[in-house]
Amino acid sequence: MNDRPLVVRLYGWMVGLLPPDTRAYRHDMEAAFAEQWRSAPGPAKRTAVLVRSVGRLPALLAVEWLEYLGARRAPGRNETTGGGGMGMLRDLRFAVRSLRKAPAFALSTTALVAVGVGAVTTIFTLVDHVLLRPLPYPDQDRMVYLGNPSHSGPFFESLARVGAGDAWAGAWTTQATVDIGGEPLLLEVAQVTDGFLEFFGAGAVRGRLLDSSDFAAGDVVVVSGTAWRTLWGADPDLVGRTVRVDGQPAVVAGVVDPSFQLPEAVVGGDVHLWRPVDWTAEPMQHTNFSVLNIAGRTRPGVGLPAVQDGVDRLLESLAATDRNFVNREGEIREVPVSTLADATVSDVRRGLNLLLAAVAVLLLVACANVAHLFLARGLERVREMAVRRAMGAGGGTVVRHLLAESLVVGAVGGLGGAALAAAGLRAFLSLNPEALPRGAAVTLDLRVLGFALGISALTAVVFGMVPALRSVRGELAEQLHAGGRGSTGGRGINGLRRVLVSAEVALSLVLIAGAGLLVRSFVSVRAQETGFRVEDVWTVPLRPTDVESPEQYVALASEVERALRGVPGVQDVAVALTMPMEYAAGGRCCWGSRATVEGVELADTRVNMHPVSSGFVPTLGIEVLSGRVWTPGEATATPTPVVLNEPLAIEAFGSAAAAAGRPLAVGDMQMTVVGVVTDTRHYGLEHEHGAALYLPIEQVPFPIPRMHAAVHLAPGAGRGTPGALREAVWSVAPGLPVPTVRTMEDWIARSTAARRFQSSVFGAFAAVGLLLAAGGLYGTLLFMAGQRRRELGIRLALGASRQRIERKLLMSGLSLTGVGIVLGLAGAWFSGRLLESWIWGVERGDPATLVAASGVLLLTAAVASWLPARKAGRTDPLEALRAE
Amino acid sequence: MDPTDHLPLAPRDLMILAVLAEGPNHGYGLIKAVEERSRSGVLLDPANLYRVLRRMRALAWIEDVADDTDRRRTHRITGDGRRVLAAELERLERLLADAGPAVAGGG
Repeated sequence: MNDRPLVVRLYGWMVGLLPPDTRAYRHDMEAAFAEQWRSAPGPAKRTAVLVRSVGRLPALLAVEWLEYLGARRAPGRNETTGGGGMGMLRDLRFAVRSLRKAPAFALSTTALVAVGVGAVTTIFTLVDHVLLRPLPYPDQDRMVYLGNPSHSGPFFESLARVGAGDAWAGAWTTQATVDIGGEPLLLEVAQVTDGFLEFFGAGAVRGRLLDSSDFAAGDVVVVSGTAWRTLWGADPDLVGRTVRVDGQPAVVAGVVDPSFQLPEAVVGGDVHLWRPVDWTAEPMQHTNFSVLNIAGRTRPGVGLPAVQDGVDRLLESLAATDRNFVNREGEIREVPVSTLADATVSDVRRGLNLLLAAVAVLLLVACANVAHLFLARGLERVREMAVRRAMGAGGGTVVRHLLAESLVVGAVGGLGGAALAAAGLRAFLSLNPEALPRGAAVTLDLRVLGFALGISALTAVVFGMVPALRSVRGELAEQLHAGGRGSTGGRGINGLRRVLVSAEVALSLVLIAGAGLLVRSFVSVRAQETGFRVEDVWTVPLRPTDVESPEQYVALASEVERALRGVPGVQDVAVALTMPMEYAAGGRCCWGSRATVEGVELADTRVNMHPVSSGFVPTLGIEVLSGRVWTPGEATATPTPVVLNEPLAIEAFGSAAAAAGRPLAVGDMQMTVVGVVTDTRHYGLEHEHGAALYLPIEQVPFPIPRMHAAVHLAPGAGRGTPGALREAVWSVAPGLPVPTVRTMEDWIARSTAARRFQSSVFGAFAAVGLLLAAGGLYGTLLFMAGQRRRELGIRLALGASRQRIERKLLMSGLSLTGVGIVLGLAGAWFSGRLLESWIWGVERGDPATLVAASGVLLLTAAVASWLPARKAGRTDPLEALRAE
Repeated sequence: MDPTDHLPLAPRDLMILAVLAEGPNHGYGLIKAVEERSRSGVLLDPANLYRVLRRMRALAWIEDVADDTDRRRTHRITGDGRRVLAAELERLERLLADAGPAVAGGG
């Protein structure tokens, strides 16, 4: 947005809430605050500035608005006297004064409102920006996306025949080695159809976008706004310069406006260069290459079903002549049509809604506690209220005073919550390991601030009013009487308190059980056997984007292998197309086909084929179950020597032992099985590998812009390794980008980062919920004990034992908890269904988790009840009786 | 205008007028200058400061200084402002003078 710190912006917004007659001063206020903030040395001083400036705002807001509205109603009045004559204003001042006299109450209620509102506002901001706001494109409500997930060039061209469609835009995003002077860079390049950027309403800040004539020549690129800034330092003279994309020169025609938001469903989250699609390239001319992601726009007034219908009919007519549109079962290929907005966020919708539900629960717990505190305060003041009413204050006045108090608490807590949300949002976005679609555009703004204030006002008013109304409704005399005796008074209020405590316990159990399920899933994923060596293994992913023949690819692989073998400390080297865990986060790979054993096709088995060097099995320490790995000398033999994984060996030959030496055909390749190895988790700890085989990388029949090397180091040789490995690769292939050298442990940690994130977020929510519930229970029991002090005193005086009194109070605390746990278990069972897609290796109604969660709650509740119980047991009977 | 109509001044108002009597200043300068005289116990925050300034401007105790180089308003004390300040200081001095001997005598 701009360079002002977030705090200053936030202060500017708050000041913007002042009435219009202060408009002329707002800029100065913000500027003065900004200078104060900037010149405050150190966090302590800054906190003081913040507390002073923001803390005084709510009261000022109220006063200014009341004056402003009052002046408008009575134009003759002098608006500058700063009066305070109005009823509401007096109530607010009175409320601030009486809250000041009860600092513990004021602090805890505002803190509770702030925590609840802050958490909800953080998540709501994400939901608002990611799920609710319309996409920032012209006619976005008419934009559709063709799923399944990508399509061929000829299919794109035939879409012109779909009458319901108005325009279509396709993109093929690939990685390319780009030379802009200096080290070779691996960049994301989107090849797009004519008019693609205009379709999404993009503009150019320098030069021009692609035009129709570029598609014939093909030697131009348009640079994305972010790449312009990060790679070229926003160089104003970039247009007209030449870059080399996979060795081919291309002229920079223009730069896209940096504010343009990528259509992530179509091109992914990152594009550095835009190029015209090369319609003459082989993948664009055949229907068996599915490379284009396609978005479209419907004609005005035409709905999604009409487009789906049109696409279905198109597929039908294409399938009549082209069997690439027909699957193995003879069915016509399906292309589901969805709105572009749905396609963009479908992956995260569930997760975000779940988080929103979790924080809403947290807010409810916080609200219950706020209500609690107001109830306690209301009860303490029953006498005061009753006296004030007896002195002639109407019921309305008393309610107004209490309302004013809750408003002040709500406003201060709400502003605090907004500040928390600003910090929370930043933390969330920096922690979030999964690229959140539309995440770049998320900021805190007025709309969300309004939401936060609305929620907090509602919280405070609803829960502040309950005790206010209750304290007014009853009979005056009865309240004076009851308050005076402090024995049986407010039975109704105590009932309400019990319900609130049980509800808090129930809600926090839901959170704890949810967190428990996620943590257990995380643990069981991490405990999954990999089947290969993880320690002391480093991997070197490579992107040879300019190899043009299988021979070049094989030559590169053997040179890389030789170079890496020379690095000190390296014990074994493997070069392969892919390494385990590389695709754990998803992504597209691999090579596969159907296997035939002695003339019989294995119908339900698609075999994953992994081209690897002969060092692959020893480097990764994969256990050989029978036979052996081919030797380097056998690598080019026919039939191709292959090593099967155990599932394929069992599928094809019945057992690992039976497979060695047997012939096998996969696709049109003839093979001989030389060995069988144990199964590995190639696609992530959570996913079955399925039937797979390893074949010599020397026999790869096509060039491919991917390669992945790995080394097994001697223990303790890890220091300085990434640099040494990279240098070794560059010593044989100087122009080859080496994106990131990583340990295998790092790959595994990354593959489970999302789970760790989910469990820590839920864990944090659960911890706060537990703390709030314990606080509620403690407060309630302490209060109950205080109320019954006289009764307890009499009992003790009459000879009741302290233990008996303690036990009684403890039991009443535990029985409240018990009710809450029963309710919470039901809630946890239902919420487990929502979590289903996130849990792994554990049942959603897992008894152990539910028992453990209940146990944690019960234990906490026991402590929270025992403390006040002990205090009650130590009541001095004489003191208790004399105090009356 | 009778300056005594507005007495006594709130400590905050007094401090602001006192700082402005030394020369024109803008909002942040006022906050800073008042903070430096922190023995007075007066600490300003921007929003409340401008509320006071707005009121003083309506009473014509202060006025804006035209300054094209700075987007911020610069405030200057007027004759009326000086008269109110002088009256308040005089009142305080009289008060101190009346109370002083009694305090000294007690010691």
